[in-house]
Amino acid sequence: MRADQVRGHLDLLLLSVVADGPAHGYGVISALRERSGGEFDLPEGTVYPALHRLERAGLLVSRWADESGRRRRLYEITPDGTAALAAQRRDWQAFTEGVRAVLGPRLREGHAT
Amino acid sequence: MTDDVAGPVDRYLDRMFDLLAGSGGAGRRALVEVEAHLAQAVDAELAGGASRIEAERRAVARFGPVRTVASGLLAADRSGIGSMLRRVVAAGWLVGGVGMVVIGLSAPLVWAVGRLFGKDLVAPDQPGAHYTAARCAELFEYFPHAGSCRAASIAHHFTEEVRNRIVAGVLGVLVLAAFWLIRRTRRRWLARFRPFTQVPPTRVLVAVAATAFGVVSILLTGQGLDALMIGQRTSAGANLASGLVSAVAFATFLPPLVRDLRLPTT
Repeated sequence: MRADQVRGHLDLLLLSVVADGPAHGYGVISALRERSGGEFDLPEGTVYPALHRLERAGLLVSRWADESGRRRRLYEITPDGTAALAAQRRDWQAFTEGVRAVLGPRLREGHAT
Repeated sequence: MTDDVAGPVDRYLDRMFDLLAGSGGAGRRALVEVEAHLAQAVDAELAGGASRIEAERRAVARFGPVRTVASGLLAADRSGIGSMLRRVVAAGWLVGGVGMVVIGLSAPLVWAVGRLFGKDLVAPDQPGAHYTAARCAELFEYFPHAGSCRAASIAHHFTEEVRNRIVAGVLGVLVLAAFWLIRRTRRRWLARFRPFTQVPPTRVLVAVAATAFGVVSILLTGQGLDALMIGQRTSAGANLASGLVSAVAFATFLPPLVRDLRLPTT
């Protein structure tokens, strides 16, 4: 999938990864890559502006943590972030169902030919 | 610090540091995060069997163009119009302070021009200006040995010109000292003004200062030369001296400006 397509949904994806537990930037991008089966292979640096923006919006909080002698910034989801994630999931689900409904028959036709 | 043995990661971080300059705590934190990320990415590449240099190259390439990431970070940590206005105030404060100091530095030069080539080259008195009797009496009180009312006026305005420049220089030093003090103070009442000392990135300040001093230098020097060419001495020396000092200030800001303009874009 193209990076700009992923970027449009980056907030949803990041909130979803961080909702599973505190994570630092490297962990978040690794999880995105693994969970998407390598489909979401963004430039890794793009994740930090998004994390900072989500923190400014109050959807994430962060703190310093030492991990194997390295200082890392750990991000956690806030209650507002959890609510935003739930809302964005609902929107995404409605959107994908709509797209599938429109493309579905054609997709099936395409498979058949 | 960049040196001959700096690898791709160090060079990337140096560039990131430059691009985030002036972004305060948010920029510093971002830099620490990026450094930790790249270190972990390099470790992963090394574990996969890559050489050190190749591991660093891949980690940097995967991270993305430094300008894109830095501008994304700056945009994400920006807090809107209020923050922007505070940065404009801070930039005006700093560049204005430096400008006042530069005016102060022109005082000895203006004084020397007046002493060597005539005070009328500095004073703004127009030839043929009319002075009232009361004004003449007042001017002769300041300069009783002046040969004429016009000479007394020129001597008075010459002294004023030099004195005003010294005052501007001293005020400039105080303005810059206040800026420095507010950034470092632990006193709460003074620290309230700290948001107004959050300057834009250094490269922006340097570009603004170089442009301002360059333009002022050209205008004043041109004005001074033009006046001399048409045989009008009034203020010509003062303008030329100010133009020269502005040119020196411009030359001071030019190397860092050129250095930044020559930096790679990725």
